[in-house]
Amino acid sequence: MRKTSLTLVATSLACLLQGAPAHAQAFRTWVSGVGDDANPCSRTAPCKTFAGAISKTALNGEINCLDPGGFGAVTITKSITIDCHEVFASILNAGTNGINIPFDSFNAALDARRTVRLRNLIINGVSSGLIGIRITGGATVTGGAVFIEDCLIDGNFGGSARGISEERSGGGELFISNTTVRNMGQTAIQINPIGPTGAAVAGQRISITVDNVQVQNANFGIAIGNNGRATINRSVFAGHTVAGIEAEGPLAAVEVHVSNSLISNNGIGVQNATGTVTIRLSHNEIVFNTTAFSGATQSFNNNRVQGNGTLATAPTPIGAASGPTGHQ
Amino acid sequence: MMQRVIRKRGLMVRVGITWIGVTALLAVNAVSLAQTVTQSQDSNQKQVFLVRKDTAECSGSDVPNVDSPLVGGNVVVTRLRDETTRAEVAMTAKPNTTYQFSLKCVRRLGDITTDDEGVAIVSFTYPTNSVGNAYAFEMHPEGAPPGNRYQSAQVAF
Repeated sequence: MRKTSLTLVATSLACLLQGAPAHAQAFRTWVSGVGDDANPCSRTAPCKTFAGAISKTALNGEINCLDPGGFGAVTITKSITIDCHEVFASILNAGTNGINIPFDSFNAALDARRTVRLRNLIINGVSSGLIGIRITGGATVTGGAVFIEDCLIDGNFGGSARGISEERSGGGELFISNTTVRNMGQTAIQINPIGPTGAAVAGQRISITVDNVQVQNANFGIAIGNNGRATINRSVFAGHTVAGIEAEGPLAAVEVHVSNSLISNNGIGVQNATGTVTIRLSHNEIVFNTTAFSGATQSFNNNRVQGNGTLATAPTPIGAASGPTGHQ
Repeated sequence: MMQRVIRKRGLMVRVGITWIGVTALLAVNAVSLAQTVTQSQDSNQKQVFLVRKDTAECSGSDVPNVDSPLVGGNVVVTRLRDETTRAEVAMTAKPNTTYQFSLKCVRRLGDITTDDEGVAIVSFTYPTNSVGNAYAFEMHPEGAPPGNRYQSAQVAF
């Protein structure tokens, strides 16, 4: 009899312990400008910061914003969504990065999706920030996808001084849409795999899709490095001291396709800096740059290139106008 | 004759402009490559990260000056002409918290209080000869609780 009771108690305890993690993390958590990180981050008891909410949010879950506020810098180490649409949601990142996404800290066994979604966030470095969104990894965890939608990233002039820095060496996907990246001391959007020693490496293929993104006032608008393959559509690259669009592939080939975009008022409009680089241009306005092109580029014969200081290296037409690969 | 001179001058001007353009293009190219690799810095200005770390050497030689999720701030150190040095600290740490900011193993420079988003931007000035050519900063709240201490990488002029 006593043995049976003990078994029952042990079984009940085991069931309770097994159930505990499911209750500890919710699939939807909330932050509020007047919340408290001691709270469970529920709608009625919201947290104050993203960093406080993330540990209470389940894998593949979502953090939402109840009301306007500054919700602090955060490091993301699992598949999650931070979506503050319709609410003013800011991160001030003085002297630091706004959002770190170190994929090597993800649990590769449990986290099959490895997907981070960021929506409607304003990330302001207040002139001293380092990087708005920094994506790293590839040494132990490869792949993964990051979606950046409807965000504003501004004012990073400390350290690397970038807006978005994609440094994964193990491949992956990056999607940026309906977003503004501006006022950076160095590069607004940089894609370049970085090795453990901090040096650029060949890395695995990083696919980047940029749609309806305003990139303004940095040294470089977008710089795409080794093994990057970028599709850029309906975007603006303006007011960059050195180059609006720059690609360099000294360690691995880079491909860039730019369409329906405005590239204006830059030192160089489109720059093929070094290495194995293919840049294809279609239906773009390339105007008022000091130099329109530097290095080899290819054109579908349908770009408007006017009012630049110098044309420099004219693009090479892709096939005949009536050819299968040309302007059709 | 007049027309020929003008044409000749026009040609010379055009050739001149072309050379200036080519030179400028090469210069810009060189600058772009250099800036992609490293950020140019004034020799009287250094930038070091404040890294969340409980202990470090007095000179900060064991604190890596590399970006990571442990970086909580950034110090821009500038040697001024009046023989003073200015340290501009920008940080994002624990909200509404006062940190004691020091020249590590030398002396306390003052306090930094973060706002309700954890942000603080503060400048300190000290005599340049009060430190050597290689030194570091330390920052922690009252009582220096573990997990809340920050060490700077080495400032080396």
